[in-house]
Formats: sequence, C-alpha cells, structure tokens
Amino acid sequence: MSKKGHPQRGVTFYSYLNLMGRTMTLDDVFEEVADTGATCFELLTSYIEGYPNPSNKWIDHYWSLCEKYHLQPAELGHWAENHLRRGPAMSDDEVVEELKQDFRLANLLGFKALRTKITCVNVLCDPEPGWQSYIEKALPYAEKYDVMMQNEVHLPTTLHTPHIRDEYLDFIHRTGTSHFGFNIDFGTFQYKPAKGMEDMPMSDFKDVTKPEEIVDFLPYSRACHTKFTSMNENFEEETIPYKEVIDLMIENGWNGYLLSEFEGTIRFKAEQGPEYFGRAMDEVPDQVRRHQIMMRNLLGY
Amino acid sequence: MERQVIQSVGFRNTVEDGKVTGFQFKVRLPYYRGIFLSQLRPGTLTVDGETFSKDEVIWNFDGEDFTWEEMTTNYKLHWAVTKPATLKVKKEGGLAQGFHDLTYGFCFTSSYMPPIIQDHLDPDQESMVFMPEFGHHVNSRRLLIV
Repeated sequence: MSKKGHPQRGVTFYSYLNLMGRTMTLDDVFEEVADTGATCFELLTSYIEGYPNPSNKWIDHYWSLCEKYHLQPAELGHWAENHLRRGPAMSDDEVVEELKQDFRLANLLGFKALRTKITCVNVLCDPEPGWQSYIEKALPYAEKYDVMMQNEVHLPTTLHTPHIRDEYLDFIHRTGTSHFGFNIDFGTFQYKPAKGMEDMPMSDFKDVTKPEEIVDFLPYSRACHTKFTSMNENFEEETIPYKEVIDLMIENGWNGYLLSEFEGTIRFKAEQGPEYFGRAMDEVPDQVRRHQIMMRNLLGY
Repeated sequence: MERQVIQSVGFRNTVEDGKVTGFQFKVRLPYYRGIFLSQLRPGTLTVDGETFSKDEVIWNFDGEDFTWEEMTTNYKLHWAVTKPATLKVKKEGGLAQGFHDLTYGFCFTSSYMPPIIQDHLDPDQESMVFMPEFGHHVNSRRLLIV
C-alpha cells in the first residue's frame, strides 16, 4: 500500500487581483491568506515591486512577510515571452535570457515551482511551434536555479487534448527533464457553467477532463490551481468534482501545493462599475475563505 | 484598507502555546481625522448574539496592547485613519469554522462639537446627529473563520 499524499493548502494571490493596489496592499494579501490557515501561496511576477529588478529593501520586506505569516512560497507565475517586439522574431537565446531572469527571481524569492505561460495559437492552448527549442535551451538554467516550469492545463484544454501528450509529455520524455511539468487547473474538470456565468461560457462542457485522468500526470506536477467560480453557503463548489479529484491525488501519494484560485463572475464584473467593485470588496475575500473551508475539510488540515 | 469599518484582513482565531485562546479582528477609524487614544470610547462587541463588554476587548496599535482604562489617560498615542487597529478577545477555543455576525460599537470625543452632542455620546448607539465624516458608531459585518 503506497503512502498517502499530504498536499499543502494554499492560495494564489491572483485571487485578489481586483483589490490589490486598490483596497489591499501586498501586506494585506499576505495577512488575509494567513487568516485562512493556508500555509503556502502563489505570486505573479507582476506583484514583484520593481520587476524585473526588485530592490533589496523590497526583497527583505517580502521575506519578512513570509516569516511573519508562516507562508511558504509555492509557485511563481510568469510568462515565456517570445513576442516582445515587432520586427524580427526573438531568437531562442533572447527568450532564454527572459526565462533566466525569472528563474533567478524565483530562486531569490523561494519558489521551486513556476506556472509558465507558453505562447498559444488557439483557444485550446495548442503551443506555438518552436516552443520546444527555447524551453529546452532553458532547462540547464532551470536546473541551476532549482525551479520546475509548469505548463498550466486550463479549461477548455483537457488532459486528453492531443497537444498535452504529443507536445508536452513528448518533450518531457524526450529530454528526460525533471524541470518541466504541469499545473493542472481544476477548471479543466468543470462540467457545467458557473453560477452567473451562463452567458459567458469558456466551454460547451461537452469535452471535459474526468477526475481519474489526473493520476497519470501527478508525477509531473508540483503545484495545481484549485480553481473555483462560486462557493455556496455550505462551502461547496457545485460545478467541479472536488472531492473526487482531491481523493485521487491523496490516494496516489501527491505532496504538492494546492493553490485556491478564485475566478468567479464578480472577478470579471468588478471592473465594470463602482457597484460591482463594491460587491467585489465583500465577495472576493469571502469566496476565498469559503473555498479554504472546503479545502480544510477535504484535507483534514 | 477595506471600505467597511470591520476589516476582513486580520479576522482570525488567535493561538497561544499551540492552543486557540481567542480571536481578533481589525477596524479602521471612520473619522475624517485621527484621534488620540484618550478620545476613544470603545463599546460592546456582539458575535453571533454573544456579547463582550469593553472590559473584554483589548485594543492593539502597532503591536502594543491597551485596555480601555489604559487608553483613557493616553493622549500621546495617535490613531491615524490610514491604519487599522486590532481588537483582541479572549475566548477558549476561539470561533467555530463558518460564518460569524460581528457587531461592534465605538466612538470618540470631539471637543469642538457642541456639548449637547458630546454629553450624549454612546458607542453602542448612533450619534443624535449623524455626520458621514464622523462615521457610524455601530458597524456590522458577516465574516468567515476557516
């Protein structure tokens, strides 16, 4: 009988996007996340003051927040930018320089997992040809800085969408690398429209990932986005089979980071006007806390 | 800070030596100017119908604890409108997981306001003349403990 997994319960700061820099400072976000009893977090490179060159003062302050609130850096969200200028395309080496910069920052800020966004060519996120070339060149640096790039599998992409095996798994097996893998965003398991978003479907929900499909990918994942769109008053997510997926991860010995990512209707409407923004001020922290209650009860901690 | 007087940030159970001994929450000062602690008039806290008198609520500014009695003579420490204060309450086991309805009353003296208003200040009731720039005495919010 193999050992049960003990994943860590966390939150991506991206959940507070609409409030950050407005009604919440980075310090506030750290504290709000700590209030939930979560033990880890995701940061996006955009939240690094002075990115890509943060000051030592900011870096010290960041670490003081991690210590004060007992929060472990889990994943750094960054982008593999390869279209940063018009005219001649960026060479592989130029893209690698961008990636190295982010790897170095991740290492400086305590992250071993990255959520690497790779340029896509369609809504299913088929990667732009040529990605293997620069990502492979970046692997020695990922190893040097002890980080793992993770491609995010995000609705409407499923774990059985051809490019997952044909491109990404093929890359991992061909190179034999342990510095590339997957962040499986739970939205990929979503089987019906989110409450309040029936008119803005990202999928027709005819082809979704089944919970059991996650098992094959667990060895390649260090952190996953526990996406949710709407938590009800009983702390349940009604459109994503949470219990099944989490149980499978634990049964199969997964010890990664589970990062709550709130992407509900109010997140999209908050920018439309003051009434919506006012609602977001209440709903965002409330929804994340509801999700953390569900996660705490599912995990037992 | 959040729009509401009672903040979500900072609402959690408190732990001492590995045991949950109470809970805390933060409030911002809804006044247009900051006040000295001796001006503060703390009132009653109600959580899910359970009341806590002002004797049971500790005010914390920048890491320093104060009872309401200690504050009555402190006219040196200034509470700015830009920073919330933390309120700490002892309660064995803290608050249960789930929703909690918090209602807290506090107000402050303003010696430039007429005596008739100053004499009737009650932290648990609204001022006889409500002025938006003074804020409400009593504020409520429904928050979650995880």
